[in-house]
Amino acid sequence: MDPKSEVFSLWKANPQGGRVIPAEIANRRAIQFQKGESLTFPHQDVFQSDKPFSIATWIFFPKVEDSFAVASQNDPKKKNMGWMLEIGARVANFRLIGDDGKAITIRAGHLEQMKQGSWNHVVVTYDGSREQAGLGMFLNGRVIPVQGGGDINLKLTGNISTPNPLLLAKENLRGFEGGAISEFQIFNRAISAEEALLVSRWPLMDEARAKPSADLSPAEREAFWLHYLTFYDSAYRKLLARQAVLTSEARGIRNRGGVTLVMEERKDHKPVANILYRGMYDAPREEVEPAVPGILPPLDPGYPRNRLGLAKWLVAPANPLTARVAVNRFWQEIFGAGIVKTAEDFGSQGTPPSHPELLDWLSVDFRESGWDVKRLMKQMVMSATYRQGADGPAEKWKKDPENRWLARGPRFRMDGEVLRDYALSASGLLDAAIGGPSVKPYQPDGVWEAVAMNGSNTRNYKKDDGVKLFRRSLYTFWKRSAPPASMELFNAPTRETCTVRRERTNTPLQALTTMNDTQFVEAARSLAQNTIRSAPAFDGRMDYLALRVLSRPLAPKEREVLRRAYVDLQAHYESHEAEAGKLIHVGDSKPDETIPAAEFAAWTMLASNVLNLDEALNK
Amino acid sequence: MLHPSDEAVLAETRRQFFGRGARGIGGAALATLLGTGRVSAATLPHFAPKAKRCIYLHMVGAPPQQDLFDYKPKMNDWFDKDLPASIRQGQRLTTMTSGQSRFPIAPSKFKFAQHGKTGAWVSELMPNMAKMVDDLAIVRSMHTEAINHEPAITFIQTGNMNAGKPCIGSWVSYGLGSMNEELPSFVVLNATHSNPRAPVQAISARLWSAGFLSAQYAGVALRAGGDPVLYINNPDGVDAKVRRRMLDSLSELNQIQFSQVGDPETQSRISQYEMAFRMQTSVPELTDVSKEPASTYEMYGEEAKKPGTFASSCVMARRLAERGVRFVQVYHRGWDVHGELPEILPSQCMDVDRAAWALVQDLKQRGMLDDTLVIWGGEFGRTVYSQGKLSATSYGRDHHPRCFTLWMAGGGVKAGLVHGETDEFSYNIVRDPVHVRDFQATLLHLFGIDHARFTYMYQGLDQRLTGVEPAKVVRALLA
Repeated sequence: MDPKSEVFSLWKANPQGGRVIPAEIANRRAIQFQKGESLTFPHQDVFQSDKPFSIATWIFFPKVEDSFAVASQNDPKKKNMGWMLEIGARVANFRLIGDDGKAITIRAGHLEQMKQGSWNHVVVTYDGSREQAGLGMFLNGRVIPVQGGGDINLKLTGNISTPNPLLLAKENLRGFEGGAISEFQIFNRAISAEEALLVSRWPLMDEARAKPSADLSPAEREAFWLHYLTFYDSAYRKLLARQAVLTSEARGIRNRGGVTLVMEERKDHKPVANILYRGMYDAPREEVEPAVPGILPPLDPGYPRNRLGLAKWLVAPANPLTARVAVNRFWQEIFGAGIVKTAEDFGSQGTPPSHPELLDWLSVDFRESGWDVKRLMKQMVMSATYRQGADGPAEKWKKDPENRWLARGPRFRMDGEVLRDYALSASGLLDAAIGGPSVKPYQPDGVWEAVAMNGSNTRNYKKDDGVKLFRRSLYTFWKRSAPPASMELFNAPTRETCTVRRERTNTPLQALTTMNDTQFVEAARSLAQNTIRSAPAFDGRMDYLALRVLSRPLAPKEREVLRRAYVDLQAHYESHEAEAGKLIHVGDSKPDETIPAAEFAAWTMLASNVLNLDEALNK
Repeated sequence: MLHPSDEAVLAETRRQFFGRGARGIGGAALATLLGTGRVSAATLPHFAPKAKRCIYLHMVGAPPQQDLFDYKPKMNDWFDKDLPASIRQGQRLTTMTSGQSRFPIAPSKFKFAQHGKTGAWVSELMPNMAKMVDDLAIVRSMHTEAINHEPAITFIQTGNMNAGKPCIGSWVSYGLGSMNEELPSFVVLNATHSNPRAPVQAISARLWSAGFLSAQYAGVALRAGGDPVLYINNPDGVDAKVRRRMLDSLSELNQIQFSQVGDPETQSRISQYEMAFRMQTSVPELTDVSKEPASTYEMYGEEAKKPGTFASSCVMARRLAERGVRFVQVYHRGWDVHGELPEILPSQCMDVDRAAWALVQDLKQRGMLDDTLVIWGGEFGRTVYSQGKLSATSYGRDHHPRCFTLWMAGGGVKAGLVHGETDEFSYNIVRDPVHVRDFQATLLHLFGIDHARFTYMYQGLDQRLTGVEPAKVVRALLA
């Protein structure tokens, strides 16, 4: 290790407060802390927001579950500005706090717990970039996964430099009772992964230095070999430099993304749960183990009692339910209602299937096809039943208003998400890109604010810009206590509980949404723009508009209705130029300014008219 | 998700949002007229109602009963002494105080006096409510089963701690239908609170959701800022004349569609668009308070001029009631006084005291109090012992489900009554306990509904607001 970069070493420094009484703890020379004890050392100048530094230390983690302050140089009187190295929930936690109270934090991933009752080597590094991604952590010489520590601000905006002294452990309740520190070092740069590994091997090499080469253990030999490579082998060092660049890049990527939680069975404990009668959490009753409901086919004794077993059971040939439920939901998706109408309930309280043989046939076929969803959907949409017209004489509608007997093709009001996507698609605004984070399109002011907690990070709705306004509704950000207003009005579930079947109401609030929501008005305006560009005269334009939205040409009678409306609307906007100008500027996208405003506005209203037709809202 | 046999009935009616026939006929009632009803609500009301409408002022976070209405002078001798185990009886606590080594008693810092012919004790924090104790039935013996806000609010609003059940307003709307043609029958107002340090709890639309009832019975949130009803205003550049012209051609085209396809839903769509147009006039008329006389603000206070305040919400609640809205739910947040109670509680009370008084007096002057039920209260009570540090000047109180106070007025409730009593510690009820279910049964009773017979078949159960456990109408509260 380059001695110039080490600016502090525990055994060379003189404390200002507290007593240094080195003791032998778990075979290591160290300082142990009792309750409320701490050690104060002179202020270290190396810690600044724009300068790199590293801290390396051996930590003896006492045998208790608690949180501890290991080391810090900060000022509790000034929003804690400075830095802190702590242990919480058995993992290391490193925090830089600016004088504005805003902090960047990394915490070791939950699988990177320290071993209780033994020594753990921790290195934390900071590259001076003021970014959370500029923080790094090593445990026992190994770079470990970290997560942001709950701070919303990923940038260090303030100053961390405080004149306060360096403190090991802390005097208050959150001290380091029973814990110990050894080989505490501070460096004036962000040390590399290899250096972190070397530092963690230092005590080993110190001891081994005096031994003859032949007596070295494999671990000691490896440590010296590593030391040689790191400091003397030019080829190795070149690769190291390259690796450092890539590692920091990888770390940046990891820190920018979220943590994906993956569940796995606990290996140290059999899965059990207690029955809580009427939800009484403080009075657990009988202990139960994994099993399937008694009323359903039993779990094959050969299956493991875990999620794998459950999955196997779900798709086992002896269990007809999975295929039936799945087929029924796909049927519901395209026909508007399932063969079993209560798609969420196949039990005795649900409705019996209208066509049981059909459901069974489709289910067996689906299962035997290898659960081929695409094939199933194709089968359904190509059926004569699906391809029927939705129209019928009044008498038929009266006899079977809900079309349970399928004498007509499906016709139902589309879901809120589909309606929005449909309008965006017809207007040419839709961004069809797949994947990516959620977006926040137009929403009336105050929807979130009215229900949020003070400190909530979804208290204020901040609309996105540009293409994010036009992404598929699938990507719209969802706050469960205040779902997207325009979708909630169309019976979108709050997503607080699993909902497999939606209600389909028909309300004036829905009419107001598709007529007045900025999203729909802008779609109408964009559709109007494309319509005007599509042809020079009314008829050609009308054909375009009808095809875009209804996928059919208009009947002469319908065309006449819209022609009369157009004449009136255009006359209105000719005499109200300013109004026309306002209408064609609703929404963020820029209108084509070369189109005369009155004409543009009149077509916008016509497009909105067509988008609001019962036929357009219905499948 | 409806029971299948209800769906046929609702297919006739559910397409209409507020109206349910829009002639004062409830969805359930209409079902009987159509001769298709299996809905048990069809015979509503079960008997002559006293209340036609209700304004429910919910103080979210739970006001401390011992600082407002439940006077416990003996506690002054108990300052900083431990709550006796004989009182606590090993009761379950929240995890916010279960770790405390002591439960030091915090007597109320506020002065109490007796008021009115009733002689009810009221704290100095509620000087206006104190003036009208002879109009109120103060229930000091409310109790609940929930110990945290979310389940407790859900419980008192829907009769169940788990989300997914219809709230009181939805039940009443479903059972009794609308009394007007152009406004929802169930409206929700979320009032602001003035103290930025007041500890708030989140609330959400599930508290005014219709649960398993059709979504048409859900509460419509009337907003103080922006559009009062979502999307009620035409976009820029579209005036009423343009909207009318567009709707004329829309309706004509939808008619053509109907004549070709025959789906009755299309006709319903036409009428919903027309209703939307009518609302575009009626809602602005409702929210335009410029014609409210000066006397309104003399009563409710200047705060009432600020949109969104609790006072302005009370004025709006009265305007809604006048226009035939059956159930108005007002939420006021910031009552979760775990700490710094003496600093925070006064401003919370300032927010609501005068306006709640004004609302009751206003209704009385207009002759509406007789058939309008007004309710004020939270979701549970607060502990007599201090949460966190108790000092000579400050204390906080944790959640306490075993007793709390609410009051009711008008709508067939006995005026000038103090009901129920708690022990010296305001910890356990010693006389006339009123369970949340009893309160709900009583509320329905005032609307002419027998809670036990007002059911809705869902998931194989005749669901009712009061659930499956016993509930009783509190006769003593009835006028």
